[in-house]
Amino acid sequence: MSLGYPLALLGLVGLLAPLVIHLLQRGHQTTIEISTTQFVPVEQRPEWRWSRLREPLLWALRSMLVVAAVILLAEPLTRSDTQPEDTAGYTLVSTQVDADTAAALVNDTSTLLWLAPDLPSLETAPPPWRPGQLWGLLWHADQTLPADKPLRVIAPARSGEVDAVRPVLGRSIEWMDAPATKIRAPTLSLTVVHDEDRAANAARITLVEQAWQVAGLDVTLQQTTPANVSPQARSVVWLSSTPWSESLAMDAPGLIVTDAQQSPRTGRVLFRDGRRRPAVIESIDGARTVRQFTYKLDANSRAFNSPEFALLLAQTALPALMAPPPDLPLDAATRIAPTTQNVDTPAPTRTRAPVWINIVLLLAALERLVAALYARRAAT
Amino acid sequence: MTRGAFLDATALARTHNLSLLARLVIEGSLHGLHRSRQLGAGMEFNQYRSYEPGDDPRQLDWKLYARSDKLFIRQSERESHVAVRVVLDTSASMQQPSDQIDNWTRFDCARHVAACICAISQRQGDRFGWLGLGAEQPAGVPTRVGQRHLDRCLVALESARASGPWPAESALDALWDSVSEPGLIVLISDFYQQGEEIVDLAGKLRAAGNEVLALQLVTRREVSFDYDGNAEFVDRESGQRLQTHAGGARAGYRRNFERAHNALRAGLARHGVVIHRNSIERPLDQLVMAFLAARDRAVSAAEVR
Repeated sequence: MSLGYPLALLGLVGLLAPLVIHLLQRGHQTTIEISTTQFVPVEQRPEWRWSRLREPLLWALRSMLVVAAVILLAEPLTRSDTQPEDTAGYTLVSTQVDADTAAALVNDTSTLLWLAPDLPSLETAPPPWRPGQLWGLLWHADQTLPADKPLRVIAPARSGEVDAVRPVLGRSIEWMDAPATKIRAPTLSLTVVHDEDRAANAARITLVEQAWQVAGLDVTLQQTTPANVSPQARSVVWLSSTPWSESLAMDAPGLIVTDAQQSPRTGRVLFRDGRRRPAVIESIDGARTVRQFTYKLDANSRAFNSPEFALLLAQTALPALMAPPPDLPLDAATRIAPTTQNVDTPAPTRTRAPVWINIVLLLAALERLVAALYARRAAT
Repeated sequence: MTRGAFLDATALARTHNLSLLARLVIEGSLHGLHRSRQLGAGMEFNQYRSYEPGDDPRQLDWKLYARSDKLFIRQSERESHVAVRVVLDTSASMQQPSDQIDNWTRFDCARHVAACICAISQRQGDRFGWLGLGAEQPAGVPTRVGQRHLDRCLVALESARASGPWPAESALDALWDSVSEPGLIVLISDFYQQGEEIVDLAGKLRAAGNEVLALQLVTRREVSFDYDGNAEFVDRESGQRLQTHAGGARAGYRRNFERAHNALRAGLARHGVVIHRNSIERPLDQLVMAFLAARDRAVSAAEVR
């Protein structure tokens, strides 16, 4: 048995409490004036010697109660150093690894799972579009999967997303290297509709497109006017005061991103700005989802020219369109690749608090029982 | 408020009004110390009554006749042959306080009982007085009759104090001087004696022809000894200190206490003295009546024998 908070053992100092009380009482006696002392038996001496410790059973019970309470506060744990004999554990496959490659590496009966949120099976689910945080997913898998099952991880030697601090897992894992498979995102097309007199907006949108491409997003922006837009266009950034219902087919599914030039729409707040005011409100118009910025996307506006606008526009317009998104560039991961592939984790532990709670309750009940018996005996 | 509640020791501890107390107690008590008083000629004026043929002309109040032109007989309390003396223990042990009633000691209770007995005696026309036996010069008031004498007794009782040990044999001369004439002696004490001094005193008083009534006043805690923990007990009279564990000594104390009381009762019985024990926490009228009733029972038993 080990302890989660060994410092709580300092509470054992409480064992000295009865002794301190005893010592304090030793010097304490009341002076009582009575008419005559001739009836007081002289053979009865004051009780302050150790040998005269009264009710030793009660004292022992209370000491044991203190010890048990201290151990309970110290969070008792039991640690199992033996590995489970059942090797049919789980193999977690990074989404940067091809499913067939992973299956070829595994030659046992372990269950193959994607190292992704909810741990989907390799057999039933396609590779999730977003790999997620590697360490966070590993910790999640360690907590979710049965504690007595071994874990194996198949991941590229250089992973794209790692945290600065390694996680502490409840079990050791077997780490297998596999070549990463670069998943390219499909080229996306986004139609930007604006009026003729807002050419400055078009220049700004062009800058946004370039910024996205630098970031690795393969997005193409097609600029047009309300009169020339295709009615079936799926993803539209509508920067015009003209109603889109005159140009777009509203029974066709798609997304419309617009700004305050259109009349304000009601719906749920999708994003807020730095002052917690609504920045983007999402609503439904026919078969299309409308995401409306609460301010005007004008070339002269501060928000439109801020560096964050490209990101906000991407978050507003792109996630619904990108399936799956592009993988992060591998070269960025080379600088923060893990130096070791074996995560040394402590053996799984189990708390023994319930056992000690029962012990404390039992001792408390015994203490009350014995105290009542002593009190009854003293009364008689 | 009932009279009994008013006479509760708790209330008395607050008032300390002996005169009021004595009047209240004896009005509620039909007991007396002996036969009722008689009116007649004497020094202490009591009342007037109309002249009737055959009355002694020497008892006519001529001055009143001169003023009212009517004949009145001047009646005085006829002096009784019984002299009632209350002998009060004024040693320091009488200062033992009650644990249940604030500002109420054994001596307070004894003084109140003494006041009641004086008042009852005055009502019966007896001569009465009291004498305190303690370390100081014997205090008290000689036996006389009348209302004014009762007032003198009560004033002296209110100023009495208890201190020191029980007086030595040689210091009891004042007692023997005052009891030269046999009478009724009410001995009020805690009767805690080192040897047999109080029993001997009662025996000598009895041998001198007195009837002796003994009233032992105890506190509740003196009987129960329900102290606890380590304690140092200090003897009020001798100053002796005794360290002990009160809870452990309780059984032995109770045993010794009852043994001593039985020995005291037997010692007094040898001299024909009946002792009555009562608690100072008891309401005073009940205490006095219980004492007088015990005395009546003792007298009846003696007459039967």
